[in-house]
Amino acid sequence: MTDAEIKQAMRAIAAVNGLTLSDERSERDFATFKSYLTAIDAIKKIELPVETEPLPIVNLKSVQRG
Amino acid sequence: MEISRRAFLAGSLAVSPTIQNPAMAPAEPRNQRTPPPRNPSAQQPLARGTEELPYLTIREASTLLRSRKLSPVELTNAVLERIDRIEPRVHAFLTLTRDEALRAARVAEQEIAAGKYRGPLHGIPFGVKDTHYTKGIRTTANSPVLSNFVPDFDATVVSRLKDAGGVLSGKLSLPEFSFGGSPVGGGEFPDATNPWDLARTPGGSSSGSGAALAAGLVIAATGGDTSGSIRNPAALCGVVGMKPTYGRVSRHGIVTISWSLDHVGPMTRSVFDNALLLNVLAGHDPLDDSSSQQQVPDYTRALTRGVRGVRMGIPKLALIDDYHADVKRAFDEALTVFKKLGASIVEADMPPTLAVIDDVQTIVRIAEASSYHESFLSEKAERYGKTDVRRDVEAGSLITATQYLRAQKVRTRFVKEFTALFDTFDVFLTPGFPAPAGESANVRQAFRRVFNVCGFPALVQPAGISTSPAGLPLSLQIAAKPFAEEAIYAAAAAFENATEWHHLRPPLS
Repeated sequence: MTDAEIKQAMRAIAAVNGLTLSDERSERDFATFKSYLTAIDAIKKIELPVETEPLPIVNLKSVQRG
Repeated sequence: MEISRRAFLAGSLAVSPTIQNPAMAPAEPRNQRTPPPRNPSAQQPLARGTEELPYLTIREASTLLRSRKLSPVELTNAVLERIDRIEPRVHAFLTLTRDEALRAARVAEQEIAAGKYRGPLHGIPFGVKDTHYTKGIRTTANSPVLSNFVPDFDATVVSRLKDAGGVLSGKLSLPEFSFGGSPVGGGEFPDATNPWDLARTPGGSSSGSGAALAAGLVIAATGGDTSGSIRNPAALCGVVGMKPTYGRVSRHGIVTISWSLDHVGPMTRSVFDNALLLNVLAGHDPLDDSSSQQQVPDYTRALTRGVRGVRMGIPKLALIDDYHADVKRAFDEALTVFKKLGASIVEADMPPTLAVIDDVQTIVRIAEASSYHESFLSEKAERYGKTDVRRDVEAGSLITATQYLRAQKVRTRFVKEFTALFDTFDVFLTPGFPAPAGESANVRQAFRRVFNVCGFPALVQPAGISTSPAGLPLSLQIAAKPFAEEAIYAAAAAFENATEWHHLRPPLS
């Protein structure tokens, strides 16, 4: 994606989240968001079996207490 | 309770060898003792009398308090007097609770006089990071967003400290919302400074806790650790900081960064004190669903175990070859100490996922932080301080669920790999921080966030003094498997007993 496309996507995702991302704010947030995308790209290089579950698991202890 | 100065000194010195300066230590060092510190100018002989009281350890002070050779009010007044003199240069406190402290000290004095001694924390002045909810006392996280927030209940750790008879003397500084490894200004209040060099960072984010302990402004403190925030300031300020196992200490009533990475733990001036404080803080809390029901041992019982026959893992030295030269020297000296004490050192092959674990931590942390900040972003966005917090969480709120969960899946794999690795040794050693305070710490792997990702316990303790620049604390990190805090304390106590670094004081007067 080009920088312009990323900025457009940022504003769109923010709108979906209920936030208005002004041009000034999207400029300010852009480098940080790009650094997150770089981190995500690095994470994607780790191969995982399709059965892998994310670390937080449902914990029913509190329900059992009730 | 009145005691004569002479009687106090006789009593305190009898139980309090650590308040001596290393230069005043016995002429014949123990066999395994490390070389003397190389920057004698960093040592500051302490005046005797009330000047010594704020630098007492919990262990020393509690012995005096229990035997009524010292009163909680006298101890609290001595700490408050030192705060009056030193705090304007250190900025460790965001809120000083002078009246509440003296009130609590008077209650402690009456209870002890009546024979109702509660334990080693009774009558001990302590501070908590200003992320900890304190009933009726503002809790700001150093952010204008929370500048008027006065909780109507205490965080569980605050309740535990108060129930143990501790004397809350104030709320300690941090960067805005605990974001960042070092304070960078722009929060609601001034940043804390490093007592060893007031122009340098104390590390963060529990910056006030580290600075206050090093400056003798509290006798015990707590911190929070999501990316190394207990261990960073402990390392840069020359004190002891423990990030316990995830779930060991309650997070209830703590301003959140990231629910699955946040830890709360003890910060002290000695390993013994740290174990004492964890005894009070640890335990199941029904108000925190991540809280473990695992039984809490008496951590002080591990302190005399020694390390003979203990298997100690270290990273392959190539992994830390980009660390500061003084740090590498201090780490090497620490390994020598442990070998002389009978431990075996083995280089460990790190799992391949370690290479992306800081990326995993970044995505998990900022995605969870953005969720916590959701209402602040929509309702109070203009109130954030002049820091990068708003930018970071605003950008973090754009991470998709799929991306967040991908990071959490890699985390699952890493925890399995790291658990298997940690089965091959008893404790794992690394330098406590890649560089002295204020020096470049931009390294490939700092071994900080990795222990938040896996939730394993890790402690940092003093392990040297820098030569270039001169006179700054260096440190050692000891980690272990989940709920193996006792193994860490055993190794840390053995190192502390064999060295003198924890006796050093910053050049403040």
